[in-house]
Amino acid sequence: MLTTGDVLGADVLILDLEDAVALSEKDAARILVREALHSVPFTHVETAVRINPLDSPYWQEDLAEIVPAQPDALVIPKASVEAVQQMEKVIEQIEKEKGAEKKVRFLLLIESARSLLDLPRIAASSERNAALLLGAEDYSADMGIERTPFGKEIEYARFTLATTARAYGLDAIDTPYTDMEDRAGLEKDTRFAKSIGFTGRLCIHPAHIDPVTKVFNPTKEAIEEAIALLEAAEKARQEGIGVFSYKGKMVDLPVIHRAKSVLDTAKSGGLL
Amino acid sequence: MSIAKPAICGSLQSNDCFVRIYPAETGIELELSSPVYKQFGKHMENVVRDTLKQMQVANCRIVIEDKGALDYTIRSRVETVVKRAHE
Amino acid sequence: MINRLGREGLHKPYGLPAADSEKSNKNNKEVLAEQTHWGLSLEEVLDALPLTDGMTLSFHHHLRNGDYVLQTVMEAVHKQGVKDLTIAASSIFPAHECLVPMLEDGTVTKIHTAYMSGPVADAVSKGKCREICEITTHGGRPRAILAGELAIDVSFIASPAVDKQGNITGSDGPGACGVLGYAVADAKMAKRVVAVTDTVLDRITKPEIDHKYVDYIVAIDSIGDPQGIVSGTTQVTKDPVGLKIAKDCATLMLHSGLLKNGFSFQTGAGGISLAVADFVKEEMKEQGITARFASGGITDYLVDMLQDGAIETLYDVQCFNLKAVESVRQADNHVKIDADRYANPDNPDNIVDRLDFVILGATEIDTDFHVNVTTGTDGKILGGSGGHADTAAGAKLSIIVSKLVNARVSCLVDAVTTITTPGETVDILVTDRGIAIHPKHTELIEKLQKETHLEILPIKDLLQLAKSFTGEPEPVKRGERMVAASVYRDGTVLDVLYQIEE
Repeated sequence: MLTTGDVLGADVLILDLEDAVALSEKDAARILVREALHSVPFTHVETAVRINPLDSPYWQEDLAEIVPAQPDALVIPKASVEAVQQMEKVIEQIEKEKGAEKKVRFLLLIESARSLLDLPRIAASSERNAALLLGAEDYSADMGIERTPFGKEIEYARFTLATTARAYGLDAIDTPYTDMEDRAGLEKDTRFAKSIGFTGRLCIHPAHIDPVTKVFNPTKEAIEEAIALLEAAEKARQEGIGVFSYKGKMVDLPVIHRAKSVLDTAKSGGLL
Repeated sequence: MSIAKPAICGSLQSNDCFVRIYPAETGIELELSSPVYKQFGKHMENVVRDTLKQMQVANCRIVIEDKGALDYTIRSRVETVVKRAHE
Repeated sequence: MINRLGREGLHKPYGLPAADSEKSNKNNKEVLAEQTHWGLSLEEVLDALPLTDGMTLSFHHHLRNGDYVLQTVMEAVHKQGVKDLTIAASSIFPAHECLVPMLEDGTVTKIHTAYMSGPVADAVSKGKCREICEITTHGGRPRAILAGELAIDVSFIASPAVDKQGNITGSDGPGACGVLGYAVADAKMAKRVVAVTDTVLDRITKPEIDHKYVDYIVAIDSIGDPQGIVSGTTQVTKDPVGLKIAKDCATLMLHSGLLKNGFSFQTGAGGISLAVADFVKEEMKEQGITARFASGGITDYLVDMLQDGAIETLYDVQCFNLKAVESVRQADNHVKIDADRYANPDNPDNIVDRLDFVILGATEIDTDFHVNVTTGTDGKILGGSGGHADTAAGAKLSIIVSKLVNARVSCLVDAVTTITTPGETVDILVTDRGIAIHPKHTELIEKLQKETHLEILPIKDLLQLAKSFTGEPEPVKRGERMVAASVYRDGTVLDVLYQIEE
């Protein structure tokens, strides 16, 4: 899967050094991922590596091996202001020494009650931050609550994360759906996430990639609608009209921005 | 690096290789078995030798059971097993 | 003689104008039995024939790896001390291991088949068979038999059930295998026909083989192991990469313009091919279309589609499992066909010529789109065309589905080790890293590039991509001696197989 993961249609491929790797194999995994980043072409996908958390004895070696291999991003588990700052210091040093061409971005995994409350500071903690990710399993363990399929118990976490991410210009990535078989449930849950402002979702099963992508991709109708609306807006602009009516609805600047956003998503999803 | 004790790394899963290394006295003893030995055996042996050379391992016995691993996997497994054998 | 594809074509090279017709003195008339003899043991029948040196004996493979009949017959034949026999078995499985010592001692000196696997295949690869064997196709075999090119002295037909008249059916008895399509041409044309059975019924109303062809009926304890009989099928793949390939294939089929109401298709037995059928089924549901027919080896998967009304008719030349056996027994629209009707290129009504799609696997495929399903890269025999070359030739769109690289083996190579199916009959290769379409399909390529996001590349680029993963393979040395010919459905020679180096 390491060699072939990029063909499955995801936007980001996360190579895991943390929970998926046994303690006795951390060294082997680190080296294998480093070599894979150098050798495997990884087409059509961005690469991210989930390193071990700040409170582990592994994160420094992880960074020493992985950062020079230049993945697009690092997933920082149990993200906190302290973790980001300490790790960034080390990363800066490595990037300088190796003459790195690009700065690795951060995908921050929010997995505790504390980090949820600290979210604005965490979001602002580094210019490298690109996204906030919700890790609902660890979060609910931290809260001492049970996970349910409907997810009511993580609603607060979801709303907070989506809102904070938006406020700080970051992507909001929802927690994975853990039922491998329930496709209907996956779709419903993902639609809900999208409806409250998430811009993507973690998938732990390749079969989830297509259904999740479908939910987040604008539909053909939405794309056509956006194109038509922007054409009307351009016409209105040329006629010197500010706010106008399109198909019975008022169109002002926020509506136009939303239409542009739809087309941007469509383009980056290869739909345009 | 010197090989102080035996060590293993990797697995027999398809696309991986299982590597065992032992201390030795006189040079590099290399044993490789692979379902694609006829097509890539020589090349894979070179990859192993090159990796050992880069890590400055002059003496060892290294046994590789390959299941169709690509070069980067072979390199990784050899590097890891050498480091494990060195401590 | 070198054939049109640049390979050794022996005395009948593929693609070159036919030599003088050899048909003038060939027997192509059916042979009827004067009488159907009962009650003789196998040994007595062999004496009565009589069995002599140099004969051609034939068998069918509907009992697959659960077959006891070939072994039972050949062990009795062996005891007779005859030699230089040709075995014309429609396929050979590991269960036919008894032939190996018979190759070694010269009892059997040639094998004529459409598929070979297991110890017999290994033995042939190692040069243990004296003559050059022939590996043909499921359609080419009945063609050769009916045209009189493959003259059969005795056909031993494993018969799941016979009736008191001597009619044979595949649908009854503990060894029921459903269809007996690969035995029909043998029954019609062989000089003598021996039905080997373990079940005698009063009356068989719809026999596969009419008693008028049957000379002898021999009863044995058991013709085969039912578990082994239905061993042919694989499951739909669960591998996410395989599923991606299958999905892309289905998308391609959808945009090809051929996936419309009344279309027809056949899939190979591989896990990815079956997954394609899965995705196509979903597409069919969404569009509200049904398939006119599906054909070939029938699995429970296709039976489900038949019963759901997604397919109108199944043309069954071989049942792969018990559900298929049961369905062909009682469903009117699950039709038994023989190999001649199935894929004989000389039969104007043959089914494969009516196919819209066929989805097949490949061990190797090269930049001329030639496909190899006969040998591995080391030259060892691991199969044979079966229906591959027939369906590829007949279908409007022949699609190969395969992972590009797996365990350092690339399916795409510079030149295939053995040509099983010529490139001009292969249209598309779908892999996880890209799709290559035969350059003659300029319109299709344009259409797909316009309407889909499928990654379509020239096949040479896809080959380079594969090599960027695996590295450049060393050429595998092949032996000097020819051990088998890869024979096309029209009887011409596509390629030759060589003894493998140990």
